[in-house]
Amino acid sequence: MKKFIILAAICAGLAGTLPAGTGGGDEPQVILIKNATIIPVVGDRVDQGQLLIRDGKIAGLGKSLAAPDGALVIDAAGQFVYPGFIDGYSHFGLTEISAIASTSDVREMGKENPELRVIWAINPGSVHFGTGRVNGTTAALVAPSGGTFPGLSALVKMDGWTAQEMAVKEIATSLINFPMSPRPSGGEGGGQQQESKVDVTSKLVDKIKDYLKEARYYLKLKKDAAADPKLPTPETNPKYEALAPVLDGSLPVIISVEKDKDIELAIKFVQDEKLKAIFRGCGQGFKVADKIKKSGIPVIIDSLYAGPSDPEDGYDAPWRNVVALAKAGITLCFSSGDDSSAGKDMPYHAARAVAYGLDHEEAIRALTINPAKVLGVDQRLGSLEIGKDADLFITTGDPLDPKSEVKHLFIGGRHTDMKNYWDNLYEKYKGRPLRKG
Amino acid sequence: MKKNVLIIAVAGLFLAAGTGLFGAAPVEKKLLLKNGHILPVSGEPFDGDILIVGARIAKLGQDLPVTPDTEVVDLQGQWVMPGIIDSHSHIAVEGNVNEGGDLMTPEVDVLDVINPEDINIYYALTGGVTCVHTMHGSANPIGGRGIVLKLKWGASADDMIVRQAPRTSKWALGENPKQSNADGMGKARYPKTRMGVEASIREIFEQAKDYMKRWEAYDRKAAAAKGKKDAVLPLPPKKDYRLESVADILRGKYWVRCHAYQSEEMASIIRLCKEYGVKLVSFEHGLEGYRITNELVENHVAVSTFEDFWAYKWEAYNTMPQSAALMVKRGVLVALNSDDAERMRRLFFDAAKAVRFGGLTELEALKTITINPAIILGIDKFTGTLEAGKDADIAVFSRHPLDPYSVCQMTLVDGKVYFDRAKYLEDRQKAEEAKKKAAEAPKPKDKKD
Amino acid sequence: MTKRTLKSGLAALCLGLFLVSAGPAGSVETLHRVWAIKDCRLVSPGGALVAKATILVRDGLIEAVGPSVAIPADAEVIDGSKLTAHPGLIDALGQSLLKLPEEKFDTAKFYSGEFTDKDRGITPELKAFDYVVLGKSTLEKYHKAGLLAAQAIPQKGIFTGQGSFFSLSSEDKNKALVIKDTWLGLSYSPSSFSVYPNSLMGVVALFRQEFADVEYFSMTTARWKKDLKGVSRADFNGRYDALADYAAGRKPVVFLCNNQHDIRRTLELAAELKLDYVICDLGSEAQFLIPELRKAKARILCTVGFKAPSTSVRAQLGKTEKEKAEKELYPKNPAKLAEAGIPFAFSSLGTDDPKSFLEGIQKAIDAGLARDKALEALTITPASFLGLDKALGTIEPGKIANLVLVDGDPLAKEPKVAMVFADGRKFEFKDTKGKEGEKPTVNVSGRWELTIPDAGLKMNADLSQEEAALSGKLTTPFGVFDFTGGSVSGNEIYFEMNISVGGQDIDLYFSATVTGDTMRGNVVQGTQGSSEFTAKRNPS
Repeated sequence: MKKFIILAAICAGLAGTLPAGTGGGDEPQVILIKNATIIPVVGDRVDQGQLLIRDGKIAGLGKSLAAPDGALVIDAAGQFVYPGFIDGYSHFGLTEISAIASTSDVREMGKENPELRVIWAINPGSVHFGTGRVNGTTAALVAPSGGTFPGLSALVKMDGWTAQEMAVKEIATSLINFPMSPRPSGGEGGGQQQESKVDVTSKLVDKIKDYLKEARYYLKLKKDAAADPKLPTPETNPKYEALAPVLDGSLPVIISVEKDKDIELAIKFVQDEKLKAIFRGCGQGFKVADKIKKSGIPVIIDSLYAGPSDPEDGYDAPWRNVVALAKAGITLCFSSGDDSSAGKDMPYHAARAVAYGLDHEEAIRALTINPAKVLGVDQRLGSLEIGKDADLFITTGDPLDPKSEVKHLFIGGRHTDMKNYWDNLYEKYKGRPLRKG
Repeated sequence: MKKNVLIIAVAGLFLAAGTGLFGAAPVEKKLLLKNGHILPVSGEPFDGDILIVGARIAKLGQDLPVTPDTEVVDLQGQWVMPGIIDSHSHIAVEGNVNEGGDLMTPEVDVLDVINPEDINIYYALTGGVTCVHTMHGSANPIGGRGIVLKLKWGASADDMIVRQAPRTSKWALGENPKQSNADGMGKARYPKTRMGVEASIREIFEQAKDYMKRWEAYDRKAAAAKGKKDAVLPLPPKKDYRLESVADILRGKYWVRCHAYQSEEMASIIRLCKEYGVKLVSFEHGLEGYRITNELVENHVAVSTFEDFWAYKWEAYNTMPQSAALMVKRGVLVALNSDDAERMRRLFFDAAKAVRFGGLTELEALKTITINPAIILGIDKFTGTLEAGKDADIAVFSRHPLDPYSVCQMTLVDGKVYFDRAKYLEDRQKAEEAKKKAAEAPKPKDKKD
Repeated sequence: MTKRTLKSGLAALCLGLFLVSAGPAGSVETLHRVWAIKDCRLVSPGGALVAKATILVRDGLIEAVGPSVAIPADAEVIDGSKLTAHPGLIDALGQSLLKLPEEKFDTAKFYSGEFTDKDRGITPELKAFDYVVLGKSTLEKYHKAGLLAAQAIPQKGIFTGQGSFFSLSSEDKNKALVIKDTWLGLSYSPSSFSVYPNSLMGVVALFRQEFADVEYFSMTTARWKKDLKGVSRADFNGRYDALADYAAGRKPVVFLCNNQHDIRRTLELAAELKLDYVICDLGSEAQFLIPELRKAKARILCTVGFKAPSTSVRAQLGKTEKEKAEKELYPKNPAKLAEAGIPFAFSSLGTDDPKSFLEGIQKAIDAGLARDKALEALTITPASFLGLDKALGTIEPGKIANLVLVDGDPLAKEPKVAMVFADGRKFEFKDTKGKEGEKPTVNVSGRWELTIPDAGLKMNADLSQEEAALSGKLTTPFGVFDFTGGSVSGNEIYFEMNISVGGQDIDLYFSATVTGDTMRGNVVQGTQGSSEFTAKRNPS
């Protein structure tokens, strides 16, 4: 009877035509993967090993685990098991078609929106979750963008019925877009060129500091009023309220910054304001790697489909940069970046960094345990260890190789429907009769 | 003032190449690339050597004999493939790549505005690309003309332009010419629907035919009046470069490259081109091409497309990364292109994706970035594969080009090295050492700049 | 407006800046018609340096020159023993003398799409003569730099307009005019509006079509005029009519080339269209095409802004390389042309005023241009390009009396021009020194027209300066926005403002350097980057 249920469940799961995964259906809660090469990331690699999933968690990992009764057994001979990848920065669920405004919720208007919670807007049915997890991504940080304070990101699993159910952290980080130093522009033949003699970047940073200062003042007034009923309570300001955990260091804030001088300014800013920061981008980080390392701030690498921040840095700067940051001992995370339709490409960015010298194991860490640690969810995610969430995938080869294929993807110990929007079109049009001649 | 030695790697090649243009025709240089894993694309891969004489591949084989006047480069087992060809690009065009001021602008020509100093030419070489077709944008149903360039960084525009390549006319259907994503920005412009786009093409075709008739009538009258005493010579019609260009399209003088996404408009334009005898060579992007492979094959229309760039607008939504591979499997001639300077550098990586998405063999994948675009551009007789007699357009990679960790090491166009990663790294190191020295040296009295 | 000019005119008289005032014409003028500059040094291109010579000027012309010229009784004698005389310098092509009407950005037009030929940049009928203003301070600026003649041409658009050549001897342009409607300006500058052409290749296609249309118009018009029967008349077209002489090669055109590719394009197009042409090298890249220029026997105008054009590889390799090229490579352009024997004259296009024009020329000399070649490029060469070598360019009997008398080297960094003669009228100056400090040295109050080329934006700025404090308002296509809290320090200004466009708040930070009635600087937009801007103050 159980076997029948299992079979039926599998068929139901595989036949699902919903664009997003179904979340596993009525699959058994116990699954044994056997004969696989298992890379736990924390701990040694296990050849010809077994991994046991029970009730959504990793229950066993070793060379000779027995299959419990009623377990679904998957023979993964010749294949590899990895912890699910964690995307350090994305817009999954916020945009469907970038040119069509009604499908996009990435960017609110205005400069200061620190209270906006992206979890309210994530569409779990977005096509891009299905296509984005096809190379092994099981969780992603979904962030708003735009302005100086874009809002509050969420860390969600790449499959689920509702955004709330998918959420690992409904509020994962705040964000700040750091000012970028202007690049001197090229002029046509006749014109005279003037460089800005005023340091505008510092002025812009001062504006951010002033805003935070106002927030602190508001919070102080509130605190004082709570202690002393005679003092008037300031009117509630949701923006300053949202900044409270950022200012006391309990909520990390992702700071997007690119150029070397700006990174130095940002490090000083973080230290002055006593923030728990994560940098994102740092295209010229290699120029100030030691300073970043000393500050202890981890870095989320943006999409590497990019050219150098400055032509002088060299054509291969984006990849050399990652290698240099890793060499300096900085904790790195990878991300798929602003284009959710290219979400599946995160492992490819890692591959290119490896091509230019990044250690392969370091790359895998930057896709798994590093983002888990940086986002404070390493108790649950980021490696194959007993007790952690069973977020993992089985692949035919090196997961950074575009030629490898993920055969099974598990989120919370359940099979995720690997059939996505693309597969539906592919299956249909493969079937059109050929006309010869 | 510190000298930025690095720049020589880029500019030095550039300037050195430039000075080679003047003076007497040089004796043909011989270059032997030996000990490589060779992927000729036209045949089986093999381990061996390539002999280059002048601008051509002279021989491929094993243990090729060396003469004293041959420069020898030991590839030490690196991988060699034909130089990558990007059939859809807009680099090296000075100014706006779209002439969107009028609806139809077939008279404008990128040939008039080639900028050989565009640094994206160099960046393309770092990705193993040796040849591009650079063209007008997609703002107009019938836009301007395009041209093929060999990426000879440092040479003049004249030397880069491939004169033997067929001239092309760029058409566009769908959201871009009907300006769907620009509502509210300025005056609304007809047409606003796909059928309006096709109707406007038809309209200018008829205008061009009338124009041709007027000239034919004049030519007859002028011939009749010739030699006749007291004959009143007729006034010729006013020359109209725009209609002249459309007339040339109707005469089959230009290869039409038509930007289109949705299957119904592609099917319709195939019919229209057939009706007017227009040479439709390929659809650009054609992301729904996988739906109409039968029609494409029957009408010998190729598709120059993205591997996985999608969902950026409505007409790019109903597609999948398997599209290119499915079209190949069903007999369509498919090229993978970039349409973008950054993507151009990683076309070899895009080709690797087609192995996983849609199951292309490695050879089929390599063809989409070499011989297939060469055929679409009408230059397959002299480039696109590694064969004796063809141009020495060659890309050398550290690993198999479809290996995720492969890095392009050297790129040759017409037998000359235009990108050399080893030299680039050497120059970079020298520059860094010079910087270090300058920083450590005791500072002279500060001069006011 | 009249009041102020009159006021400054009187003030000038009081300061004695001009011995010959621009007051009532008749009596003062006719009194001072004959001058003898005795025993001065003479520098005349083509001739050797003469240690001692006397120059005789009568009725606007040089009557005699030589070491022992007899001085007539009615001549006023000037002691030239401490002075060096050289021919008045000629600015072969410039825009500074023009005061073109203020252009308002028309939002309604942007949305209705009703664009005119002017918006497309096709204004061949625009004549510089109609817009030249020879104010007293303008004349003084030119005279102090030794510039006594200039060709003014509109620079905007594709068919920019027709130039006029003036001898800078009078505030009355009718008196100052030497040749009206000289050259036609052709520029590779597509419109930034959504009109045809708005791409560079469209401009090239337009040149072909337009000249073909002009030829057709001329042919049909001539045909009808000749036969008067059997053939229909063509419609009159003012544009084609204005272009007819240029299209037929009867009058020269000047191609305003931004870079070497424009120059190459010009050589091909001019040959194809059979035009009589001059090349204005705005990008200082003629040096890369010397064999082609020699073969084509091209005539070049060199500019002295020496900025790397954006198409140049050197502008794309990063800041260090760009600055290096602007310091070392581009200023060599005139020297290289001189070495190769390519004839060239200097054009002030790309500089704001005579002082910076001369400074640019000095840069070229520092980079290797021989002094005497520089002088040639400012005297006999431009005269010959304009067909005026019989009338100007050297100090010879019969030529126009345009003379500059300097204390010391005429092409020094700050030439000490003691006096000049333009059309035989004497203009003299007192030495004034400017001080620079942190106190504002400029007053930017007034109405400015601001242009941000990168964004294709024009707007009006009303600035109000009180000591070092700056405030004002910007009238943009998106609305009117005020600001305060700006500052002026020396000749630099800075102000910030916040504008709201389509629901987005945008912070803009303006900083600029002010020279007279022009401003050049940068506007930084929030965290997005920066663009250059320029501004011109409207005369009031």
